[in-house]
Amino acid sequence: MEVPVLKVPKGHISLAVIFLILGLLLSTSFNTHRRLRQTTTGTRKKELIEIVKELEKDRDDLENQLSVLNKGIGKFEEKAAAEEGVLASFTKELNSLKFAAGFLAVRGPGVEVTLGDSVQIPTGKDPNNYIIHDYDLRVVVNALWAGGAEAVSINGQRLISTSSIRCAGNTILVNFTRLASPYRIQAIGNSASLLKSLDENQEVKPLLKGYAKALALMIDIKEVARLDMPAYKGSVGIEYGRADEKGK
Amino acid sequence: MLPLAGLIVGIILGLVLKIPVPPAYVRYLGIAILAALDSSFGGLRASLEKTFEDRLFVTGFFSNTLMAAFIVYVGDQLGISELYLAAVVAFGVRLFRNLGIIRRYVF
Repeated sequence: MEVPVLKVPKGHISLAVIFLILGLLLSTSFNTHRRLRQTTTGTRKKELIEIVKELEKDRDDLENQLSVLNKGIGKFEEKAAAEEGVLASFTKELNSLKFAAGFLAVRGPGVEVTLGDSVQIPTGKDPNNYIIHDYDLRVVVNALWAGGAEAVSINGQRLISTSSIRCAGNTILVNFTRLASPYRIQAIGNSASLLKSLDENQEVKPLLKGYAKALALMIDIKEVARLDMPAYKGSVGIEYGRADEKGK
Repeated sequence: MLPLAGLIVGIILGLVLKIPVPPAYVRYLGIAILAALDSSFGGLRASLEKTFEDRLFVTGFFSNTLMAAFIVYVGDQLGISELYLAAVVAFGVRLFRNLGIIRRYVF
């Protein structure tokens, strides 16, 4: 039996298939180019910069609120300490724990290491080689901890147990705060042992002895009789972790 | 009518699917489009001239597209990324010639 199909001119089916592929390619290309334009032109960038600025302002406001609230708590604690009995001993313990955790300002003798980007980057050379990176800070900080540092801060950002030092674009984030060169790393502890640790650390050595001179990075290490370090400004929101009593 | 429907369906499909193409392959996509355009107009012309042949058309389409992509690839590997201009020129010339012939049939 002959089926009365729609009369399709010869070859129109394969033409249709090819045209379908052509259309697919055209619209895919259109989409891709629109996306590329969006990511490379100014508008998107500007939006993102605005968002970052707003969030940083929010963070600063919250930090201020936090410090006000902490001061309030501090007053209650002082009152509690003034009273006799169990509360006073608890407050004492609380303060020593806060001190150890980096939540109190601290002062003492120690070492100050200043690292800075090279002042002049020769033309035609990779500028990445002439700046201080997050890992440079990390090796120095680790060497300082290894040398028995009791407290460490970078440009006024106190390092605590959850602190991170990482790279974000052309700045370094410490405690989620953007820092710029020069980086002043301060460590409170036995100066002699801190200096010795810096001197002997295998990871610090190439930085301080080799690259610093070859690339004209700014490096300065000095003993300081009295360093004043601020407390950690943020809060530690421990959400998932639970104290393990068995592990005591 | 059927080819036009195919074109529209293809465009809609592309807009809906939003297939992500990495920036490095954008040039390949461009040359593939040119090859596809060339084949399509060639097919249209052949069908107007009544010399259209299914097998020739389909194989021509795929071999053109693949060859064009291959030329771009070779150019990239040899550091002559301008080699893809050769494909652009070749397809461009044929495209306009085909368009001219189609115009003569239609008007």
